[in-house]
Amino acid sequence: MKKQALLLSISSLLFVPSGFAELTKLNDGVMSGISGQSGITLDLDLHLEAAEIAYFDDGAGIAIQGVKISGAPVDHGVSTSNAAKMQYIVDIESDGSLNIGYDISPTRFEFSDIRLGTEAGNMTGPSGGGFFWDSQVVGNLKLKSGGALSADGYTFESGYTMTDGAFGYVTQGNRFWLDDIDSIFQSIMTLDVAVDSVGTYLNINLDHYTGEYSVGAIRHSSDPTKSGGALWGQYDKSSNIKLRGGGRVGVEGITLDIQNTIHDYDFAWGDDGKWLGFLDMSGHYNIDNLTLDVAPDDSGDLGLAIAFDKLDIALHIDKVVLGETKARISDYLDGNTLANGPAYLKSVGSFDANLLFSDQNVDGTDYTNVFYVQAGGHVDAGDQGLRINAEFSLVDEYNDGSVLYENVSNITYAEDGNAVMLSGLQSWGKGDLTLNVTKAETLNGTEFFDGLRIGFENFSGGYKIDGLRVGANDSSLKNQQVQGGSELLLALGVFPSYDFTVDGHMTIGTGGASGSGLTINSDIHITNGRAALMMDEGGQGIWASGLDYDIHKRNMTIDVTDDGLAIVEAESWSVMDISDLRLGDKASGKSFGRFIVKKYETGSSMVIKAGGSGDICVGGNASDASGCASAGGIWEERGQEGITVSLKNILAEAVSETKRNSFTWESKSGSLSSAPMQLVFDNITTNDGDGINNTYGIQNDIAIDIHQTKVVNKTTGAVSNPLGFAVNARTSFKELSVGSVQMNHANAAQPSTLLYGMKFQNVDMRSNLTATPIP
Amino acid sequence: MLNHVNLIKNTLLLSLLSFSVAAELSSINDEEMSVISGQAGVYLSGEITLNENGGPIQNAYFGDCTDSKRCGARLAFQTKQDGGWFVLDDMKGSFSFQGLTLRVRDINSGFGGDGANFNRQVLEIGLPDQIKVDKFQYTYATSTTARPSDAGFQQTDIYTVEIDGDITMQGNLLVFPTGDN
Repeated sequence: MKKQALLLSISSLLFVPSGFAELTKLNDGVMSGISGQSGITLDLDLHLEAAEIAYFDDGAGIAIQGVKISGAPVDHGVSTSNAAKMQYIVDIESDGSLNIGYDISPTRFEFSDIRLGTEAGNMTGPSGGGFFWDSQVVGNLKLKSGGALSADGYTFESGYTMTDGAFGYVTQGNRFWLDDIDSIFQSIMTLDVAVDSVGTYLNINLDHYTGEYSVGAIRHSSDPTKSGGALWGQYDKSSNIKLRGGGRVGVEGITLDIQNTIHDYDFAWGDDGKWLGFLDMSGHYNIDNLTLDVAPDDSGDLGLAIAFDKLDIALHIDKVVLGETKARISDYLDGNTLANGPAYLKSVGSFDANLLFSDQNVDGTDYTNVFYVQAGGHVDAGDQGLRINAEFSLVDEYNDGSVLYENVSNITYAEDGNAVMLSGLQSWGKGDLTLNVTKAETLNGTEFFDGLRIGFENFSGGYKIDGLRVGANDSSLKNQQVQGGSELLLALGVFPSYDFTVDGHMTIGTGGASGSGLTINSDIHITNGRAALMMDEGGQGIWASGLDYDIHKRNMTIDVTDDGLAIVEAESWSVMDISDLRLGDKASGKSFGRFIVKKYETGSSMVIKAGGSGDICVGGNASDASGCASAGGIWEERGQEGITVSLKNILAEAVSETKRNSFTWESKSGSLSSAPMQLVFDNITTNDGDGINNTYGIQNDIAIDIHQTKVVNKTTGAVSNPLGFAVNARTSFKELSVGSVQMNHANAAQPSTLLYGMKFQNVDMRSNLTATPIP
Repeated sequence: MLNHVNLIKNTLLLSLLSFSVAAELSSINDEEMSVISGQAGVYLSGEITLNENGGPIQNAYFGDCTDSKRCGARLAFQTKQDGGWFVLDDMKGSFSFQGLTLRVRDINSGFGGDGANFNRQVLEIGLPDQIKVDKFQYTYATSTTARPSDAGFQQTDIYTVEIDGDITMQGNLLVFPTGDN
């Protein structure tokens, strides 16, 4: 703590005249709960305003301005000048501990701006925006001497119940907040000052702190009647924090080593009575050498620099449930028999994520983990907003100085006892993220939408996996042979490797297709992209390189329904321009040419459902085992769990050069002048078979399971029955129409028309494919 | 049988929409297999079924395979402006296979010495030894209109193809770019 200098600059602190404290006589009821010596009751009407409170570190400071504590407005709207009413009952108990009981009436804590600078009391420039926190709290805090490490420490026993809470973020007068928050919390925290090989530190320990919370609605100020849905969670966690003086930059700052254990965590998002739940989560997240500094980034812009050497996350989600009621989820967690539906929860299955963030070098560029939280969001949105100059690095292997650990980052999906692992996950990126609360308007030529706007500015990053490992959901999974199979998920936009630079935004608004839910508007432009359509361990594959992908979505709603998670797009359009489709090496592989895919859709949708294929007849047309055998098929029972994704793509008539569906292949091969030649499938549309209505589209149901299959070694003839990555797909459309197929050449005055129209009707194609390693 | 092989070969090529690529069938012996390095790849087994119980259109022309109507898929294309339509009609049936493999392969030896000169990577589609075809059929026809529901629709069926049984397909399909891109 010697290095640390903490300067709290309260440049203007006003206690308004209504603030007072008094000693009151305890009534019998209160006295009955107090033992030992008599205590003190403090009744407080508090209205506090402070112009600026700042923290300085090596001469640079971060300040919150416009700080106010007052009575909370009834509707969690604009703050008032009312005082907050608080009562504290302080007592010394017979064991010598200090007991503080408190009852805080609805109170607002808020500040209007976050700014960074070097002059205390006079920070100007862009603002990070303001926050407000409304709450009504009844609780108790007991302070005892003696910590976890020595008798010189302290122990804090705390418990409270919070009701009628709200937490919001405000920029340019637009507010986005969590409404109607209730929570309960219990903890025992110890504080000790201790010494280790590094030096002196403050040891903060919380063992098995528990709580439960609920959020009634997510709201935006443009239409506070709309809700983004409800949230609920309960937890049992333990944490240990070692806090030291001195950061990563200069001589001042804060350093933390944090170990968190998740004993049990349940979380759910609800939408009009249907819930998406992540149940029985457990694991840990540990952070080594987390430092906090107020420091300039590479461009010299000040920010709160949050950096760490290593973040190790292990998270198990036992069940991901979709479309369930809260009552059934509660019954499941309480061990009760489930009513009003099947005897089991509609579960996708379980997930395990092992993620290790540490420094690495990717293709000659060093990546670390540092986040500069700065003031000022999107430049056209106004002076208020947050900007995060971010750099992250997720590694697939880690050397602790003596041992090299491989496949340290991976994600495993398990259903019905079998699992598929995305093995050797690696990711990296650097660039700016911005955060603004915006409303629907055009400012300085930029279109904004109602909601919380997450912006990306020149953010370059990427990810890759080594491949899939498929097997039983146990410790042997990590030793299974790496195989392909992600090729079967290309329709869902799953690539085994993807590099990109991204600019644009995603704005999250409130209100779903009906009632509660979320509405997304986004404009994303990917440049310098390179995606693997298939890839082996050595990085050889088919690569979409030189990728320029411009994607726009309007009024895309997200709702939890009986069926699952429903995503419906009012309008979407995109242009994907692949300058070279390469075979082999991602950079030097020979190219098949350039491909341009334009898409324009209205009313397209995606529904993610719990449950895979269920019982199916592979190789026959039958609905039961005996019928399947008679039909020459193989009856497969793929279990209750699994994922089914139902896609509906409605391809609309062209309305402009970019809002159209077309496919272009361009090649210079075969041309004496090397002028590009193009083959163009233009104005591709769907309709309901009548050329008039367009509601059916292209429907794609993709069910994903892990199941056994028969494999024959082509060389030896040996037969085995390994687990495979099973994808059961059904594609149907009433009519897919192509307006024309043309050949274009730069030297030709007019394009040559190969086909003046093509109509593909009445298609129902089903496929059952299982991917395994090549024996 | 060669026709069927070529049919599938062409289908695969069309699926890649790579008209400048070259493709050939080849048989890999053990020695050649031994020079394949760094490969993961994928081994696919399963089936593909087209309009087993009819398609999504139910009208005077399309049925559900239990009546006298046609229940297969229909592809119509027009090669002359305002002209008639070529039609592949009533397409239905199923394929099942075991051991279709996909991987990127580096060819730098073998092939009677040509491999060293070739020295490049290819997409190797390992053909399954056997493809079981179950009543796959289509009818080739010409029509006055694109859709059977269009006014003035008249169609002349020219011939119908039906394939039923096992097709033996050995070897590999090698797909690679040949241009200067």
